[in-house]
Amino acid sequence: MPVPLTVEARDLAKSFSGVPALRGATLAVSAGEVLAVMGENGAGKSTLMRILSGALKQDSGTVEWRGEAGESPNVGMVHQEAMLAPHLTVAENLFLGREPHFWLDNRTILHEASRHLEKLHLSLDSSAKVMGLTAAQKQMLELARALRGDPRLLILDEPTSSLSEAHSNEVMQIVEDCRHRGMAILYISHRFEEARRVASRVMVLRDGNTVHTGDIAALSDADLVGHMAGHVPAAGKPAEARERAARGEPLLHWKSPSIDLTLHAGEIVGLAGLMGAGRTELCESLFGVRPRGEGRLELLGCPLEARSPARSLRAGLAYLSEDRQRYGVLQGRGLRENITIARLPSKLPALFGGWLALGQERQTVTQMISRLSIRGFATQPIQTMSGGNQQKGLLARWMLTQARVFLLDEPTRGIDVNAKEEVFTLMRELASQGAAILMVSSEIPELLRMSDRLLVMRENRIVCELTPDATTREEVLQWAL
Amino acid sequence: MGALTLRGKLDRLWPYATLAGLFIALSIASPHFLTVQNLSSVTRQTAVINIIALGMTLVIISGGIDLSVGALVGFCSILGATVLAKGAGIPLSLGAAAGCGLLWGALSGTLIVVLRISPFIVTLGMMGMVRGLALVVSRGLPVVGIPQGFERVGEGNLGPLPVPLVMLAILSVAMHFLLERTKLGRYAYAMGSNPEAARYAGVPLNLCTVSIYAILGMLTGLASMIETSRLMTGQPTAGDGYELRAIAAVVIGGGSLNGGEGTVAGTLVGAFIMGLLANGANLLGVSSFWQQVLIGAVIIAAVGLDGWRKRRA
Repeated sequence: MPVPLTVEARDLAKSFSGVPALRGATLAVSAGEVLAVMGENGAGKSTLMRILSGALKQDSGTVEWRGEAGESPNVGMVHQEAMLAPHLTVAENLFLGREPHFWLDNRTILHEASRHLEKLHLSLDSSAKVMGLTAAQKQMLELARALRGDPRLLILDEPTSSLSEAHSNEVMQIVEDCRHRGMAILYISHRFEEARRVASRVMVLRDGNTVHTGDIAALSDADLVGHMAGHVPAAGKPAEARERAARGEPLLHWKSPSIDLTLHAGEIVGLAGLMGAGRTELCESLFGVRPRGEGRLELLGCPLEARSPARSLRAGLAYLSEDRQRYGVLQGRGLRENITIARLPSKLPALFGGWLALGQERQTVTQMISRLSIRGFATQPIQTMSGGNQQKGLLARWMLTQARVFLLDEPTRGIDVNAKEEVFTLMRELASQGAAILMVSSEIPELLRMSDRLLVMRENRIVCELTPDATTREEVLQWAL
Repeated sequence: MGALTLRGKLDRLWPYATLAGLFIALSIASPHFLTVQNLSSVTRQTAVINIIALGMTLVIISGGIDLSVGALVGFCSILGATVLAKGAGIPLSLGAAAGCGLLWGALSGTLIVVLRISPFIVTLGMMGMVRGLALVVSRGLPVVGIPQGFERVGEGNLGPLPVPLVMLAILSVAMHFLLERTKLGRYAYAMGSNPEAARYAGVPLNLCTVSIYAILGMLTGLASMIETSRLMTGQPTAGDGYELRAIAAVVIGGGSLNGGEGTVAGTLVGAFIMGLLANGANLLGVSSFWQQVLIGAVIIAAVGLDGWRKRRA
């Protein structure tokens, strides 16, 4: 009689270019059991799951599979965002990468797919194109795909975050069936109620460490939040920051049916919320790279109708994207070009708006490199620099535009502690020179420390405004959940 | 601090070293190679491709491509020849050809921007349209009656130097300055490197795209007049396949079809490598059929080597 499968991970650690994502994660899950995995954004959940599914290799620590013959056991993974090929059909997506033969027999594939879907009680048309499916149907398909070939371990990464309640119930029913059939299941969720329904035990990650493992029924919601947030008191704000909190005139005002936001000169406004709460979408629509919808935006007292970054920049609004590689750095180009691209110094207003003043540019770049203590030289290709220095280069780019309002989306993402402090210092400097800063961050302690006012977003709405000195990490998290 | 590594410096010298090696090898292999007559003929032959390749460098740096330039040589050639035949004089005919190329280029750029179709498709369509219109307008016949004296544009000398070489030198310097010293040049590199990031940084992508294709069109128009002068007729079929040779010159010289990379010096070297290969093959009696094989292999070898060096670095 075979021993039932147990997956045991001990002290897993993983860093990405020097920034630790996982420090010491430990978990064990057995066949026929659902373990809920909880933690704040950036706690290391996704990294842990990717290691367990074999997509990543850990730096240290062990993963042991007991009771399983093969070295690479079958793991099914459901991603938060469905990863499907939109132009292919449901059946083709189901078998993508696992086509039974080299010669594709469409009828067999359709038939197999229908059988598989029926077994899961899913009402999906095997021949439908994935493009035309709803978000819920895509998520179901993703789940069905993860369950191909009866995996021994099923990992679900917030499978219901884009689903309505009825569809969430359907997902949870399938998870329950899988458990009965003897799969070991890891279930990541931010929803307490849901975690309590599907899982018997819970593991909480904080800053890459496993901080608690135990029966979920023995913990109250407040206990869970406590574990997730930690009992570390938020670091106090330096005195100088408190003093200049006297706010100046309003610089940006955005009023839409769901959001009313005002940013004043000299203040740093924090914006908290979970992944998918609509924080980035808000920044993008203010900057003009995403349709704004109904509403009225005023910048420095003038209405801003423009829907292009160039016009927003000219009007005095700068946006640092959370996705540095995609919307930030110019790969292959030097630090100098990356810093000055948004505001090139030119001499004569000649053909095409200008003859570059290279001397002036060199001087400006040298100044910026020393002022922001960027470790890199002017002609160094930016992709060869560390994440923190790339980020400082981008901050330099936006500072040079002399914008009055800065939307900083995850300004400290993926950079080390020292670089973070330097970025914070720069932000304070900007604010004290009369700029208004909207700081989006998934790290609540950072927000508590840096912001003069703290807004919390949930489901595309600002749900509350908190005073950082008078609130706690737990309270912020509770509003966000 | 702040300099490139020695290996990085050596890597950059690769194309130049190849050109120099080829030059030396041909000097040894053929007694007819290192003569004023032969070298001046090489520069005349390659000047047309070279000038088009200058514009192509700009387009490829910005992440685009233009397949219509070969056809445009034919169209501008019959226009310029017609203007000459009517007795309008050399400056006016050069202006007409350049202006006509500029308009076609601007049209390509505008279509790319407005229809949001990939440059490959737009210029593939333009290639057919421009060549077809050239044939329609000329009824498929060469335009004759170009007054004597115009042959100096392609065949004459300015002091000791062939006129096309002088034109190429001036245009190369201008293109180098455009890339290194103007906003448009800087924006072209930024667009090619990461168009989304460039947009977020406020780069006027649409205006830049139209300008860039217009500049290539203008240079193609000028180059077509050198071709016309060498043929002393306006040929609707002139420039067949030049688009591929111009693209090849850019990529042999280190330009990347993914955009963001390329230099004027590299492109010139790329074009001259191809020119010397063709010339050397002629001198050594290699058949023109084998020349095509050889040049094709050189393109793959050059780009493959470049990719290998970058992966290794």
